[in-house]
Amino acid sequence: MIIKNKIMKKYIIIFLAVATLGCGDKLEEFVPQDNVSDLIAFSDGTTALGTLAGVYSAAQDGDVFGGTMAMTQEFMADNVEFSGSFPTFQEVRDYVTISTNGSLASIYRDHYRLILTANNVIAFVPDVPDPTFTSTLRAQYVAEAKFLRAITYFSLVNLFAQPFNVNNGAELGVPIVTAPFTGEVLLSARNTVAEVHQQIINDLNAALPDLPSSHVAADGGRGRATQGAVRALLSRIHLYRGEWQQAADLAQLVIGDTQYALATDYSFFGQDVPEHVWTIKNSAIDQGSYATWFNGSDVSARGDAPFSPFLLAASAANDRRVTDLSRIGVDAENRNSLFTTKYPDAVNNSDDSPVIRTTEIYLNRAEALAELNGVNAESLQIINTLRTRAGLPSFVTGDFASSAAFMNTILDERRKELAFEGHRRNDLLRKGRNLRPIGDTNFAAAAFGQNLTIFPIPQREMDLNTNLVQNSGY
Amino acid sequence: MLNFYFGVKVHYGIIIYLLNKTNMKKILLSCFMLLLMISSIALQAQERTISGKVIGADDGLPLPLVSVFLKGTSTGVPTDSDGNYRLNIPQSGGILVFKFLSFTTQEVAIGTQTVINITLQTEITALGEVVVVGYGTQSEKLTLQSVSNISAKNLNNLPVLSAQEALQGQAAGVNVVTSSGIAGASSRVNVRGIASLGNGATQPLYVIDGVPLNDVIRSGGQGGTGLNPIADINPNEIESMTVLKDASAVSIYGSRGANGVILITTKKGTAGKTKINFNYQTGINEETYRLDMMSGQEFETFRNELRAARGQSIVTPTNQSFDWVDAIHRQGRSDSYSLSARGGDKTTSFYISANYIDQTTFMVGNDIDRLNARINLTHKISDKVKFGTNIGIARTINNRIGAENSTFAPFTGSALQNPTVLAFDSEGNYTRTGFIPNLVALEEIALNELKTRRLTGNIFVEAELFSGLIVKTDLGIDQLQNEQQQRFPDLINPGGTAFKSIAQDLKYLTTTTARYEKEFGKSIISLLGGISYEVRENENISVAGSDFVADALPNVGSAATPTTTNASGGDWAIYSVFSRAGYNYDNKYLFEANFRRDGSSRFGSNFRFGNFWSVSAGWRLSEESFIKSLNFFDDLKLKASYGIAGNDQIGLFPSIGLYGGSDYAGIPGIIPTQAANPNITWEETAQLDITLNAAFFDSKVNVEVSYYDKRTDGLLNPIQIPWTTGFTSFNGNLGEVQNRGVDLSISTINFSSGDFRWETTLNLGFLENTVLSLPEENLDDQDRVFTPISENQRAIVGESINTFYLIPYIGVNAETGEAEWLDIDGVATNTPTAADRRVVGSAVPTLTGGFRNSFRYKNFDMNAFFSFATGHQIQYDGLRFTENPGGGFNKARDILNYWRQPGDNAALPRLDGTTVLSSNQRSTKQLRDGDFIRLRNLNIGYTLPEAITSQVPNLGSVRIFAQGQNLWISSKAEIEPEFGGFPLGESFFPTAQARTYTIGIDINF
Repeated sequence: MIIKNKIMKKYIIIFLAVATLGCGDKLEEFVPQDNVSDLIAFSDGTTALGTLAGVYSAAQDGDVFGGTMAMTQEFMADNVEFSGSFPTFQEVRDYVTISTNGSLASIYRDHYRLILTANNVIAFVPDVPDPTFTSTLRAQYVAEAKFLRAITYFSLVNLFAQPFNVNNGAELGVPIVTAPFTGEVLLSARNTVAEVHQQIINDLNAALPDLPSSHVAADGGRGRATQGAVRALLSRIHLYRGEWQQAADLAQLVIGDTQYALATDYSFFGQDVPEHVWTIKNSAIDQGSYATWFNGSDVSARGDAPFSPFLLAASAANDRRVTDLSRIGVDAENRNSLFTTKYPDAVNNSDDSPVIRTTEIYLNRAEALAELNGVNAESLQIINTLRTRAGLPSFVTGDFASSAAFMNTILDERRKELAFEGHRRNDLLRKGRNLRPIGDTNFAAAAFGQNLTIFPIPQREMDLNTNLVQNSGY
Repeated sequence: MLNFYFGVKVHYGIIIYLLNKTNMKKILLSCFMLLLMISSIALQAQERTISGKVIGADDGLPLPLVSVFLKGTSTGVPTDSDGNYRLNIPQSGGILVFKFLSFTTQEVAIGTQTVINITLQTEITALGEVVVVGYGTQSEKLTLQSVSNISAKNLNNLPVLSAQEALQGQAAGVNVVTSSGIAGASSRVNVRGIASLGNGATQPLYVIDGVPLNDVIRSGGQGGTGLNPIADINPNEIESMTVLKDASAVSIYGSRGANGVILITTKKGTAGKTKINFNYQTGINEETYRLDMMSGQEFETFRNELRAARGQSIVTPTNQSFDWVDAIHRQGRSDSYSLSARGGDKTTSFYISANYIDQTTFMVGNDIDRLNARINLTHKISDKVKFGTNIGIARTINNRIGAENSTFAPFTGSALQNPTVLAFDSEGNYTRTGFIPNLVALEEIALNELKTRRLTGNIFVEAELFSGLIVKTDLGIDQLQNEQQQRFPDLINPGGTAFKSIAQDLKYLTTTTARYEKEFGKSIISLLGGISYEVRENENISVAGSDFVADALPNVGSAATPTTTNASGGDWAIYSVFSRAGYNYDNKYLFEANFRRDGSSRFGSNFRFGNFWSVSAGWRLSEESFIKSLNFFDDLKLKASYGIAGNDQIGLFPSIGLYGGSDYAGIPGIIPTQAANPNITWEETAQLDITLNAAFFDSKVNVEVSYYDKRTDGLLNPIQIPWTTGFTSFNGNLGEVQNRGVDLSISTINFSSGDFRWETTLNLGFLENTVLSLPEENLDDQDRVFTPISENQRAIVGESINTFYLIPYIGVNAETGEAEWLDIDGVATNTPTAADRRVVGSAVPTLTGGFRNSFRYKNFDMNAFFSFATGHQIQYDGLRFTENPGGGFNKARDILNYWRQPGDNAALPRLDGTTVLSSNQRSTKQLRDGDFIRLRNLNIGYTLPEAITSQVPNLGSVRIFAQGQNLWISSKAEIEPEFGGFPLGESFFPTAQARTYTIGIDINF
């Protein structure tokens, strides 16, 4: 019996040893569970839509159109009071920004992340080997990716380069990358502002014919790119370039589009309503970050960016854009301050991120027409419509002593309508104005064309890419 | 107490080792016969009898098998299982010698005594010990591997939660840093330098009783507080920890050996009377440092002074103040109970133990409660076949707190919270404090709990198939379940939020080895071959929700809005064959070779398999007659090794281009998460080691000195690329790094006579870390090749892998009141730019070590242990926040000393100047020298005299002791110099270490 046991044991040991020997082949069976390889990503129409949703998701990021980027540049201008804590944002407020500013670096990084993600869709979707994937749909996905790439380049060039009206676009813009990353590291140099603008306009013009005029809610509704969104963005870029007629005409096309209409009050934030031309759709499970920054610490936000005294001073006490859209909250310095209520949900950050609204398009048209024709009836009517919505008295032509005074009023209304949505800095710069009012500590540094009115190319990029040239002053 | 077991185990180990050699068996037999013959001769001349009892000094337990003999004769006997001996001696007496392995030999003049009871002291370094090596054990005298062995004596009874803390300073060339005083925080262990830029990729492999442990880093969103891989093991259960350092030691662990391997051997049963040990310790703890922050009044006054100087309106003061820093600190308390039993007979032996620790730390809301148990069994079916099991189980409940750069981290948050924010309203209710949560309330009413359940163990069967060939099969398992729950009430997050995650890591492996040993004349050949297959399965499930009806509902299921539903997983496997061959000629010339071939699922099919190997040779000079004739060295050995090991810590699928989930507006989406690199291949660390071991002055001085040169090529690391590629990095083989240095270990018995004994151990690890190559594309302004590590650090060819690259800060100019930095031309400037950055230091210490002094006088013993590190710098990023004059966060009291008039030696520039708002920018202003020396442990004990303990039946030794941890430090940084985190040498603010005061009792039955 004992002998038998011994023999048994030998067999067991030999068996185990042999069993182990066969395990080498099993190594092939281990594959990722939560990721797919890039080959699978462009294998059929469904995965192709997934890659397009990925581009939108990149746009959702706080550093792109999700709120952080919008707030960061607001700190340069005069609508919000910096009440925060982060030295990186404080640097921006104080005009002492340095090139190693980590928050600005993240903004740059995440913009290019979107651009390269879009490049993949544009390059690979046409060749997806799925016969049921229609050419119309392929073209639409490519067009949507081009729209997203265009608006992202526009955001980048506005942040990291001097505006078009400095040197007529000849200043250094940002590197244009339109191809997917192949593994070969290209040290891309900066293109000029004019070149970047041309790239944007080309993408938008190419996208226009392939886009639908709307999407059903189940497909993302106003969260997806449409012809209206392309025209609205074209209107904006022409406005920024001082191409008034094109800006006015494109604005008119959007205004005439039945998809869009001015809201009658300010309850449209977060709603899928005709006020929105293109908005980033967020939810409690797929979040943005506007509320985190723009709401008070008493509701679990950071309380970094309340109304500035300048904005309050410029607003009438009964302006509904203040009375309907604000609340007293606690700011990051533990003071009671006035916060916008455009983004109420600081717990889950489910608020949508507004990007293009019908109001902006009306204001584009009003401004472009005023630039073309001085004080004019249509522009005045637009302004009065907005003022009526705000509960304020209308103007008459006689109220304006000059075209300049009229323009100031249009820009003033634009400021109040679009406050806390990331427009103010760009609107001041493209008009050649100072980002801060007279009397502000940083008035001189905030003057149009000054070095620190634009962000530095992140030092990491400078370090890794010797072909880059830094912005002056950094 | 437990040293005794160790001694016995080692002794048996040697005996078994010797018995395995058939010739030895014969020699022993002949010796025994000879002994009998001599005894019988002695018997004829018998005059009288002497008897007595031998006990161990550390635990007072009887020592069996101690050889007791008359000096200069062959007359001798071993002690019996109760430590008793009886010996016939000549009437004239003589000198009685008591000799036992790993104990100091004692000689006593017999005189006219008839009873001699002896207490044997443990020897500091017993060269005859058996050391644990990969897949086996070797004689410490004969091994060619460079290992550091930490015995039970220096591991047990320390008031530490995990054994890594006990490693600190005890092994030359092994740099151990405890993250913080936070309960359950991990330690960072670097064996012979740093050869990776990655987080976690520098850590050694942990192997417990042959089972490689799960090595996942779970930071769990707690501000980077990693969890300790061996947190679930009670240090008192550990027999020895062996750190494998050189290539000959680590190459048998192949692709996972390059960062060193730590082998943990738990206590095993011993034949003989069952010994019961009970140990109780209780203590208090407090923080080693605090930040000195402004009060509410100081804050408001300073803010208005700044605003006035900057032309801004004055803010009406609230005149409120709350000391948040003080509020989150408390006195911690810990209690620890251990009970173990050890025993067995000729066929079956056992060790069982249970341990319970209940510890609250000095940070409000942080505690840990651990219950663990172990059962180790071995049974011999016959002389040829045995089987056994080692099983450790543990359950840990850890109330966690955040650390480092997190507003939810009490240490950081309390420093930065605006001091005019009050924790309580006028009615005594908690307030809602906003972005930095009410930390007092957070720790009081929020839930942040981690439950860990772990089972680590193996079963094995071992059989001698024929003479000299032993086959062993081992099935191992490490099952780890981390269950994390967070619940923030309405006060912290309006409506309330909850989070729950369960992470399961199941690792199982099978290892089969065959070893063979044969003696031919003066030659001994030993061979080892093995195969192993190891799989890890990982699954994670996490859910989160917000908006609750009431705070009383703890679970996510009660949330109105589910915000996260996540399930993920990832498996990997490694398949290996390995072998070792040794040749020993006359115990004088020693040779060894190791080989391992690993196949890993982590690599693409092209590079799936990698080969690792080592060769070594040694010369025991002390066996040569020309050395013997010097009559100086008791042992002298010179050895050299060279070989290659690897590192596979770069994610599970590093070569494939990947898309990961990223949804939008309800549409399932995917986004690129990893760039493809099909050419990625194994990282290889080639290491040369030359070691000299020497013992002299009757083995009272033992020295080990090693020189090593470790070159890691094909560094597996994310390669940093411009963001205009859409990626931050891609996985690749980055370059080559060299770590070379000298490990020096000296232990001495300075004084040993009668009742007094003084021993000293010094461990030194000198290290030079140099980057040899990196991708050529990235050149800095001086045309040096570099790669970025962080905003503060670079790896630069020719410099250390963690080189600080910063703008030098000069200080506030006493005349102008403006801050000055050094520009690249060496001129002071008020407006530094990135072009002014330069190499200003390294995060890698050039010397680390430990220094221990042990004293014993009669029944008193005392042990003082210092550890130290030098030659490195530390960047405290949090200083950019606390020394920031603007913003809403609280500020360091130091900056109240701002410049007011010419001649001021100020901490902050003039408030109306141009540099005040940029003075806190990233520069050497936040950089400190990291040098420190710290009294890690001071331990004083008293063993009750046997006269007292012997009156209680069955009572063995009783020792009472008191000890302190981290009692004293000398450091150039005013902030804690030891912390974990990533990258090396950078911290936001390190949470303080714990200073503990403990008393305890250790009883043996």
